Amino acid sequence: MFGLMGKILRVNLTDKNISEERIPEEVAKKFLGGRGIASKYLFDEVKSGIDPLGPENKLIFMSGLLAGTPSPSAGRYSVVAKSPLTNIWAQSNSGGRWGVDLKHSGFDGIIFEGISEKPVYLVIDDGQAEIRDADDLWGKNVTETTGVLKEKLGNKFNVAAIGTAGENLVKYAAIMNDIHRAAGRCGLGAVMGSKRLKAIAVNGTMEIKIADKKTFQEISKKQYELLGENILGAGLQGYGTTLVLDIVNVCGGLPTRNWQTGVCSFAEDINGESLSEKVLVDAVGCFACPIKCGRRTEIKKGPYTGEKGEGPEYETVAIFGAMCDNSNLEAITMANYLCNDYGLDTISCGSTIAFTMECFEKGILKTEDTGGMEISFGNSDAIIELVHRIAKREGVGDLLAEGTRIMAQRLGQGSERFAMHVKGLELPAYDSRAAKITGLAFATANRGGDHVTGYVQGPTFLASPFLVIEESEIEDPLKENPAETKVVKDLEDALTVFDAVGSCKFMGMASDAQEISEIIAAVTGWKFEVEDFRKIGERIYNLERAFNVREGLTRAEDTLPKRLLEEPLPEGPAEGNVNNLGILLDPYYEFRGWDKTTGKPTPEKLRELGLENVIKQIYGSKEQ
Amino acid sequence: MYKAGTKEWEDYYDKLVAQRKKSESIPYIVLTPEWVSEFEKKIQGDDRYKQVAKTWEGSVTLVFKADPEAGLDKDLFVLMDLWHGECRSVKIVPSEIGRNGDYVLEAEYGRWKRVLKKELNVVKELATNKLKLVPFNFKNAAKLAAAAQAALRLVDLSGQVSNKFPDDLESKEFDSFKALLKKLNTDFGI
Ligand code: SF4
Repeated sequence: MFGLMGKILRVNLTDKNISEERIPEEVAKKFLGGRGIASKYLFDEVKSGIDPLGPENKLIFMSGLLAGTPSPSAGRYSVVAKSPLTNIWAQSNSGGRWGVDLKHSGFDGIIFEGISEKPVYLVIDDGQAEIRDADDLWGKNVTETTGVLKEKLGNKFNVAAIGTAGENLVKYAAIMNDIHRAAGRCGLGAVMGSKRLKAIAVNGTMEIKIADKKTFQEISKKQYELLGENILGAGLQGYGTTLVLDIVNVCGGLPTRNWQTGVCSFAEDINGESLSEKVLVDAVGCFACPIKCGRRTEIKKGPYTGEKGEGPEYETVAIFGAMCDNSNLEAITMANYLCNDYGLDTISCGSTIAFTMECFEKGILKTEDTGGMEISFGNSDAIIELVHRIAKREGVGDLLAEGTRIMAQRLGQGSERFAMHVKGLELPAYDSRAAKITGLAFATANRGGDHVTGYVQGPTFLASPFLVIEESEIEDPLKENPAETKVVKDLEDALTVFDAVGSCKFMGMASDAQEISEIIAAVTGWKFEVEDFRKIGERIYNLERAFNVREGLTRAEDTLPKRLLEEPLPEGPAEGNVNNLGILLDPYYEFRGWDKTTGKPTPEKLRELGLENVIKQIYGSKEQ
Repeated sequence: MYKAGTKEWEDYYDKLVAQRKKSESIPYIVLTPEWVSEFEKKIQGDDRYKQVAKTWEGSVTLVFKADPEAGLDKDLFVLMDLWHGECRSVKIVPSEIGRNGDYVLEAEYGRWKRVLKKELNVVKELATNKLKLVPFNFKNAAKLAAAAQAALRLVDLSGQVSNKFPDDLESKEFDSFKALLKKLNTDFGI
């Protein structure tokens, strides 16, 4: 097979059996790789209603189809499982170069099943896989675990690992690779911890074959040239993703004090420029990425002076900063380092802390509940202390480790109103009241409240259209325009393909579908056209939706927190706005071919996408 | 000819604008000194611009490439002196002054026209370097990327002044537009 290695590894952690399987060519053609193939296996192999932290859940790592080829910014892998945070389909995606090294070790992916009795790690070295004892690693965090494994196995091994947050089953624990890169969202680190799988170390020299090298090189060269003179690329290299902080703030959509307002008065203390001045050492990038949006940083003043690491990026700064009403960039950076080392998703972690701060402000939580801690907005010491306690599940940290949805259910007293999650996944830092269509994208994203599923923040907040879909213009971000719901659908489908091939979504702003289809065709040798690109994205997206429907998800869950639906923004350019989601849902379902009452993909749509086997699973036998 | 960059040049330029504001009817023709002056006023009076451009520092030159069909026998340079949300001035300037702008953005006349009429998205055109940053350098490109909302607002404001473009004019008006450019050239080195 070209592009893909054509093989996956199946590792049963209960009986320690390891086997190799070929990826059937027709599966590759229908689902490409990464998120696509992983979701296909998950749908077929995981029954509905299982405990995400039990032995029946499967944890599937899958590199993208293009990962390891020199195609720019395309070295990513996906992890897929049922999420312990949302109880539905979960996917998380990460860059660095681990996904590339997994392919060089001989496999596109690994399916972990069962639960090991004792802590273990997996080593794959040039096609040979072995489960080893991880007793000595258990209790260690990511940096140390990676260091110990590299010492034992050799520096050429690349490690994906969980920290103590994953071991302690923190519901939003992340899987970290290359030390600083996170498959962060949806708590997949907790799934890994539940399986007592500490790490996966990979190494290899196997070749990734390209069918039509000449064409591939021509297109790649064009893409590199394009990125070499691309203003967005330059912006990302110059400021990292924090480039967008000022832009979102001037639109009145930077969630501040747990989304009580969309205007942050101290944005200039924590924006891209400030980050460059205060902590930046240099820009770093993932495999074969000329953009280099990553930040290598060092804290140069205050109590954390001398601490070093990577990040923070936009979400982390906005959430540990504006959302927690904290202007201390050094503390934000430190919180980021801690999250990386413990293996925690910074979005969910910071949001849960911001929610806790509002509970404290409103008297729903008191010092007697918090072990004496004053968890007030702006208290940067409390933020740092809480990150430790969450990862260790110590004191009040045990409650926060459950995430915002469970916290609100337990605390009650009206806190559900301002628990800022969708389907249990904490929302990222873009207030959808300041760009209405982004609320639809939050409400319908398959993994819950998420921005990169259909990055409609690009054409709204950033005013930057995505070339990868035909029409991505949003005329007036403050108006709900039913016709524009197609942009959400199209972006969701297109960016799904990006996750399947392992491309970074920033490339979607610079490359069009034609170019990406040509690259896929050149790598695989298949006839692959824009139509295939669109259809495959839609197919994978509907399969994931079907997984959620099978778990019991209905239209009622495609919604937003009450705060966004009912509380107008109090100031700024979007003052007075709320999300009128009702106007947008029906037309979106129509574009999707989903039943407007139930939210299920219709049998016709599933047939059109070649997902006949799914019909019985979500409709029972009568629809066959 | 007045010497570019001198007080004399400035005074006569302002005088010309004042005269033409009296003699020309509204809406002004895009790329005339009176249009440029109204554009400057719009920016100066706009709170939204002040807010979205709060962190912007530096002058921006818009270079309209020569296009005889639009009456431009040579490149035309519009220099905008912008600082922290303030607009200090907008003027048509000689090339040697325009080229010294902190950010020089260059495109065909037809592309600028479509951008100003909002048929093309200014951020997309910037991002794909079709409004070309000359010379391209990463630091300046990064700053432009961070100014997306300010760029959008400037386009909105230009549209509020006028959408009457030189290549759409009737022949009499077109001739007088060409005569104006000639005068700008002989008197001001533009
Ligand atoms: S743009 Fe950033 S996240 Fe994307 S591949 Fe490049 S360095 Fe990685």
